[in-house]
Amino acid sequence: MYPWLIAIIVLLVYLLAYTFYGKKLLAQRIVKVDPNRPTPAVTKFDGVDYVPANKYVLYGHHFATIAAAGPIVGPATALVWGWLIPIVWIIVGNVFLGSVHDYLSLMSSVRHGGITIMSLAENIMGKKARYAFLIYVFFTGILLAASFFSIVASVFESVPTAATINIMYMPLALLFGLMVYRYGMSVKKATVIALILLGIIFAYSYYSPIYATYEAWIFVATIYCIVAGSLPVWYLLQPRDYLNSYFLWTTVALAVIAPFFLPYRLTGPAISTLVAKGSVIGGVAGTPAATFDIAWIWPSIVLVVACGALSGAHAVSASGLTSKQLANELDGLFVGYGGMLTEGALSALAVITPAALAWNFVEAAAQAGISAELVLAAGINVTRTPTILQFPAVNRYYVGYGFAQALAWSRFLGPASFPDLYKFFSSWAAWSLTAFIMTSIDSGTRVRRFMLAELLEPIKPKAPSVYKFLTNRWIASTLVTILVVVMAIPKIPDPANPAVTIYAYTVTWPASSGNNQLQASLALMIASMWVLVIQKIRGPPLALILVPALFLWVTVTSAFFLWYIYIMPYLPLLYLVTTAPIMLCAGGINFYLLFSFISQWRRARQEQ
Amino acid sequence: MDAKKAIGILCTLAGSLLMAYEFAYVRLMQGAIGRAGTVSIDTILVVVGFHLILIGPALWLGETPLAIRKMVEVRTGYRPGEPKG
Repeated sequence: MYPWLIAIIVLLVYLLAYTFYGKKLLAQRIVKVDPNRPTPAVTKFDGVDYVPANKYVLYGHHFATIAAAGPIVGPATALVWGWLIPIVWIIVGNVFLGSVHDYLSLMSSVRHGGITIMSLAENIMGKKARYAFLIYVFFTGILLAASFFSIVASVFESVPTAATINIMYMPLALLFGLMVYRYGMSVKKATVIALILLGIIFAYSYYSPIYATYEAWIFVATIYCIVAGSLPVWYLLQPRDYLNSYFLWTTVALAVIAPFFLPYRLTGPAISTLVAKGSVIGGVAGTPAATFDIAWIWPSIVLVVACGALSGAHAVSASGLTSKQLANELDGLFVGYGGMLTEGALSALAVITPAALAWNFVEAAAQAGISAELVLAAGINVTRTPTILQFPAVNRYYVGYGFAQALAWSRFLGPASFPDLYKFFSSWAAWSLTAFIMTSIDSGTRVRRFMLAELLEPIKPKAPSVYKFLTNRWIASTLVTILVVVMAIPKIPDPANPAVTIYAYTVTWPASSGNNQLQASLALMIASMWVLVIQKIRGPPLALILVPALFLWVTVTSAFFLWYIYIMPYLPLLYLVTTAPIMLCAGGINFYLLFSFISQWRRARQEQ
Repeated sequence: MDAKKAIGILCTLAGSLLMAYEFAYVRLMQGAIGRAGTVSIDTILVVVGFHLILIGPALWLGETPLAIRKMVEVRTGYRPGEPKG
């Protein structure tokens, strides 16, 4: 198999899916979009949360918000099964589940005044369902944030220039926000200024590392999230997302272009195993759970790949943030469905394909006439790490991306340029990964702060002063970050290879992505209920939403039991008192929400 | 000038100076900021400067997006921050 062939298949499938499945079926037959129906961004315009946005700006903002570590770390981890099955799941899952989930979450929210999917659950399934779903989403967010904190700190530690770019980037975003929102400068003019400064920052950062320890970067991320989660959204988050989208698009564009300059065979196995070790689904290194052969391709792949194919967190972003900015119902397909397809393209073409090409470093380089010495000069120790699988999951992304880009561009600049090109593009990939994550951890802090306020609403009439104190933006941002930090800090050397460090995200990632996928299946069920009750759609179109939702529920619930039985008993104390209770509560809420869904579904069918 | 504004100016200036010192002088002299595997005083200073720059302008210039407020006033006649009606 060749990288360019994969690129053509992915682009063709996504183009067909967008045109026929997205536009003809979802938008025209199910949602029945009407360009003349005013959206909440117009009817509830307040200049703060409800603001109609340009279709392309909103697409960038939405994409930057939904694309965090998930589309990168998940597929990179899934490489243990080979490259074929993860890429197939990304293509199929994205088209039939992920994009449908994102688009329906967005449009159902738009039709209900821009409310969140949790509030939509209350409208359709009652108040108890709303609180159950809210608690579930809140703790899923905490697990996800712990993984993201751990990933970002590990990248800052191993690629110190990534820390520089992020530290210099934020004041630039702030300057952009002030220029546009405070001093009324046009977006075009401010963008040009910001992009010129960004170029200078990039050039400077490449040669200027900032060093600190993993724990110190966790601490810095914590303070940053509390500050960014508390400051007004126009001040930092929105301009940063907007500027980031240029960076992220460039990363995806390079990943799409490069395969057409790579006439080489993939060196990785299409399928390497159907059962991986327990460490892939959260078994802690050094415990028996890590060595059990329990990570069967089904149901594990759905959990592990996560956001590249599907993510429940997108429902919160689409319904909580994006729906309030959609200017026209017609734009929803491009933003919601198209945004998720772009994320799939990122996973398939920027993560899996480059890694599959670079899998065996010496063999891959030899195809391009690049010697093992040049690979060594690039900084890849082919003796200690002969294949990409020897790297931790996160590193597989920037090593693979850097390797593939260097191979492509060294065809024009000559083999001798390979080491420098590799160093540049792997740094670029590491920067993009941290940029993806930073846009999510601060937005996540803000969203969890809102959720905390919603969760505490019942105490408001009885103890208004306590409620006011706990929902103060600075206090609330701190409260929702504490548990995250505790779970993100641990790291240990790999017992099998002490040179490799195992970070907290290897434990929290499977748990958080499992919850995230379950959240997605519940959001899809709510969406299908909306399609049945509000849109009055029945028959095959409804089945196309409901069947994937139920398939997902069965898959993820099975994976939960796998985790309860094989992983949980061997967790270290810290995770036994943090991650395990969250997972157990999630399991309980999951069944409660399923039964609520079934009873409401029966009632809705009888009423019709 | 109220205290909040004064603190905001102070934070912005201090943050800018710290970051300028670290990114220009220290980087030029040492080739990097901090040392691998440790938390040096330079890293602490750049991180402190970074956060001061994030908070300072909000205290100094206020948190109301003036350009948006003008747009809302023109479109709706409603002045954000004041009760409707």
